[in-house]
Amino acid sequence: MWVFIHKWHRRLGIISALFVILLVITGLLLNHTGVLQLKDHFVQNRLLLNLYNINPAEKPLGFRVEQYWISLIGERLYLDGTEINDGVDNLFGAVNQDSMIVVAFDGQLLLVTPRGQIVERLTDTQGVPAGMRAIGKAADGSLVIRGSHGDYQVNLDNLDWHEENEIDASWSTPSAIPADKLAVLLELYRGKGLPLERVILDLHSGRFLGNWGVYIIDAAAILFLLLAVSGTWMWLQRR
Amino acid sequence: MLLVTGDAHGKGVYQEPEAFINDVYGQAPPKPDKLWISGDLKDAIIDIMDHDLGVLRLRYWLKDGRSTWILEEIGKERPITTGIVVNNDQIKQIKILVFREIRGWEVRYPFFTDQFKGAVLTKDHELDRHIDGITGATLSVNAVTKLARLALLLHDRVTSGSN
Repeated sequence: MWVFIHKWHRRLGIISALFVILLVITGLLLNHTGVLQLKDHFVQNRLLLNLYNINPAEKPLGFRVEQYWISLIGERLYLDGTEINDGVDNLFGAVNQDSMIVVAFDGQLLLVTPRGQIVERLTDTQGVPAGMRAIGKAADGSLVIRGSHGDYQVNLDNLDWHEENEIDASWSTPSAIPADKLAVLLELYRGKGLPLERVILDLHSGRFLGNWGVYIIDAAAILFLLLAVSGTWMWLQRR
Repeated sequence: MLLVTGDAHGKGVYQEPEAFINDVYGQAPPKPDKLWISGDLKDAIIDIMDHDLGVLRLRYWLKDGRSTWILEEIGKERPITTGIVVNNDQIKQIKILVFREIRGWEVRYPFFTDQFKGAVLTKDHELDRHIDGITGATLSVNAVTKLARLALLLHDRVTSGSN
């Protein structure tokens, strides 16, 4: 009996070593995820990105403003190749105004320089009308916003919102993003879609291999239990 | 140290920023003005907030020496929108307007915000007094305290004529 248990204890010990190494390394990394900033480091490997199917859920949306492109890829807003906002649900359009680009989305107007620096973020606090759903320019070049209750001619300098029932304006409308620009944007999007922490967490839990991975880690846990019991039993027998 | 328990029920919009500004100025608020952030002001802001505000300019409301600021800072993961009124270089009022975090909403109660009344900014960009924390709401307390310091700094900038 002792020989049998000793033999299997050694075999199981060798098998479990692989799991111990994996769990120790990933566990240590996860234990210090804040210091290591694992949430802020992103996987760039295409194989892994494909494995996790990191792609925007919605069809990309683009607005051309002179030579610039304002694009919504997934929930991320880009001015050409610069990400200018995250967590965007609805992009309504963009126009140029006073050497800036004014982007309308989710009840906000984002004023941004052509180089991608955010000048200001205007919300309802600064008078952005409820239910904003379009942005454009009037014949005199002034900024026009369409809200749920009417149209507003806006002076961005003093934040004067002049309301009318309907203003004749050239509204910003979406255009097809050129294929080469779209390819770059999709790469940028994917490159910030999979935090390293997620992969390490999945390796630690076994979910990296789907449900079977979880079962394998379960089996490893049972293996550790058997080793603890058999090891203790052998130690007691030797005394 | 104050002891308060809480849950996720504290999330929400307590007052629309526009309504807060109307209240501050008796329903006759001034037009918002612009403060450009650059140079030493930017450095002072980073000193207080530990990060850049991410915008080149801020809007504020100023009338009869009393300025109002709608400022945001992340507690743990989501921004806390706070209305702060400064008069005579002292905090006159702090009100949590929108709270989006799961924990830490106790900072909205007057027992916490009233501690800031009369607070002034020292030369080291600190408050002149200790602010009691709230157990379980440390990050929210830190965020609101930073915003109070920031509002005092910005008020000084727009009223001292150094802008």
